[in-house]
Amino acid sequence: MPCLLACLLAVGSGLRAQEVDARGIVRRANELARGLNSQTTASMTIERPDWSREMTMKSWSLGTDYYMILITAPARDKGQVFLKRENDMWNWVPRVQRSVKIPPSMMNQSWMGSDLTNNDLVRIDSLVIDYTQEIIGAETIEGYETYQIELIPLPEAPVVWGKVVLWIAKEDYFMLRAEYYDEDGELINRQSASDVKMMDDREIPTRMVMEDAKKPGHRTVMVTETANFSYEVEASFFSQQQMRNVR
Amino acid sequence: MLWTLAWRNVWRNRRRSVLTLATILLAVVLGLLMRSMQYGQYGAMIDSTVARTGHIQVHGEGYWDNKSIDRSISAAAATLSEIRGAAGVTDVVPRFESFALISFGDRTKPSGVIGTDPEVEDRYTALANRVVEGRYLESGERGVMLLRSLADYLGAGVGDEVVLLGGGYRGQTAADLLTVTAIFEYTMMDGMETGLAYVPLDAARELYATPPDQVTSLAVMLDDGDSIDPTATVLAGLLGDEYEVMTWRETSKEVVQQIQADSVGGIFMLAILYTVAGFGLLGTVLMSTMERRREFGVMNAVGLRKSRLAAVLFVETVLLVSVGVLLGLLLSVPIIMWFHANPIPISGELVEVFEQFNIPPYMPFAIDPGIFAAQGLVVLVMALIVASFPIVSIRRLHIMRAITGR
Repeated sequence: MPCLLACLLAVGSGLRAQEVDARGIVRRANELARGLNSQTTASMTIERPDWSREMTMKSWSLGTDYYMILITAPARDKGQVFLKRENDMWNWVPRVQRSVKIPPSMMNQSWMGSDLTNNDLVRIDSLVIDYTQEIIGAETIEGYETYQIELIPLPEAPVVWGKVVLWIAKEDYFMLRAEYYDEDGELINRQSASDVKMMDDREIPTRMVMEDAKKPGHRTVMVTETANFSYEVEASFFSQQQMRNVR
Repeated sequence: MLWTLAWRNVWRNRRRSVLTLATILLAVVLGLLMRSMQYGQYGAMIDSTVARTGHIQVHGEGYWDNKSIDRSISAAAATLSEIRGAAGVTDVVPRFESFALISFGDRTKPSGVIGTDPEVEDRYTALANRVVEGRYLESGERGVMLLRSLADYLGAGVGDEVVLLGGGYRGQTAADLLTVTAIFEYTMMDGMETGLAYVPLDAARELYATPPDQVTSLAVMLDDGDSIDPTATVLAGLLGDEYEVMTWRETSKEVVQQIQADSVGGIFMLAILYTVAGFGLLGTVLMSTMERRREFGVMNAVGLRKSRLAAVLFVETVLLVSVGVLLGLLLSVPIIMWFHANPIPISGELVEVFEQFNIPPYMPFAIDPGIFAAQGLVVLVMALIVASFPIVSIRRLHIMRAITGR
């Protein structure tokens, strides 16, 4: 039935079909990359010209609305928890035994000193819902045939980017590369994914690099170490109470 | 002979000369008082700015353009004594400035956080006077002073424990629980979206998880505001490439611009004042030249050369103006000296505004010799221009017509 509807729409207008198509590709790629209903462990390395810092974390997710991250190392940050429920974000800090709600004005600030922002964690489906998507080309990257898709933000969308360009593998929906531009069309961040590995029941890129295009040597590397995509978790798990207790 | 003649001529029409003198004298006195007041005000603004920023600021290279605490520097005892040892340096004020979310109960607000040595800070910025509730910070304690509007928003009072949360040094988490020791007011921050909080320097370093001697800026105080540039050059050479050395003119560009804009306004007023005085003088000079056409004709006829005649007229004007300027200076110097020593106190609501900006609530008068010199020079140039008019008219003088009055 849904297919029939989609096919009818496709017949109705070629242009419309392509838009639906592009959005569908981005949605699938996004779901694959972020993992819905998942429980993962990962490491994050912040690299700077004169220092670098590694931390490890454990995370749980349910759909696009619920997300929880527990920092497991290093010692100073261990036990910190970030909780995302719908559009809100809280931070539990064991050092002060308090949880703090991150105010909207801080959403574009760096997360944990990395090249990711709080928004990258909170608006997980931002690439799908905040932009118009259009296929603008095709390229082969590391042996994968990809669609090159240009994303332009919707007028009212709460995003900082002026334009985003994605390279998504045609067959596997891996988001292999992304470029984030500001409103003046200047390249700000460059993201790439590699090291495709079998994780649980599927193959996904396990290494994601976010690079600051304007500051050489500033980048953040996220490596997924384990993933469980059949993890059963209830919405009630993602509560402020739970933040104090997760291990 | 020339001078005696000119001097006598000036006093031939006593009333007119006295009036002209009075015009020049008034212009000079008003001009001087105005400039002296302006310069006094600028001086007070600069003093209050410098108390906050230091005459010179030292940061890590690139800090000013991108105020990241990752560009903070170590202010170990060795570095500090090296800076203190430079000629003209009287003191160094270390600060550690950053941002944090400040949270109490379920309320949270982003805020600037300034880590400072409470005692030294108070010496220059009189921070303790801004405290409206509680007691001023003590160095080494784990306390925090909150801006009134921030405390009101959070609903936090003196004695409450607030959470400070933010990005620490090199990607670490900055998180701490600090006790509110005081609430302070700062008019300059009114209407700002973000809050402001002061903590002792060591509490800031602990919060942001930095190495022990870390600072984001060193405010360098000098004994003489005129030797800023040479001292900055010396410090830059002393400290090397990893540091940036900036003068207060670079770090407080808005104050420099404010002074420049105001000064241009002052110069414009002066231009009007002197134009009016100049035309008054011109009127006098032209009148006396017209009236004395016959006299000039006769003098020329009996053998006084035109050039000598012109010289006499020129000297007359210069004498008149010089006496006016001299009397003006003699009159204004004691007035300015008096007000410099006893500035006019400002009363009413303005007092609070002045105190909030850390400017003493007085109208200070500057006694910069440059002001006097500039005024004297401007009036003199004006006099020379005016004095050249009768010279032209003498050159055109026709003896027969001048004598017969035709």
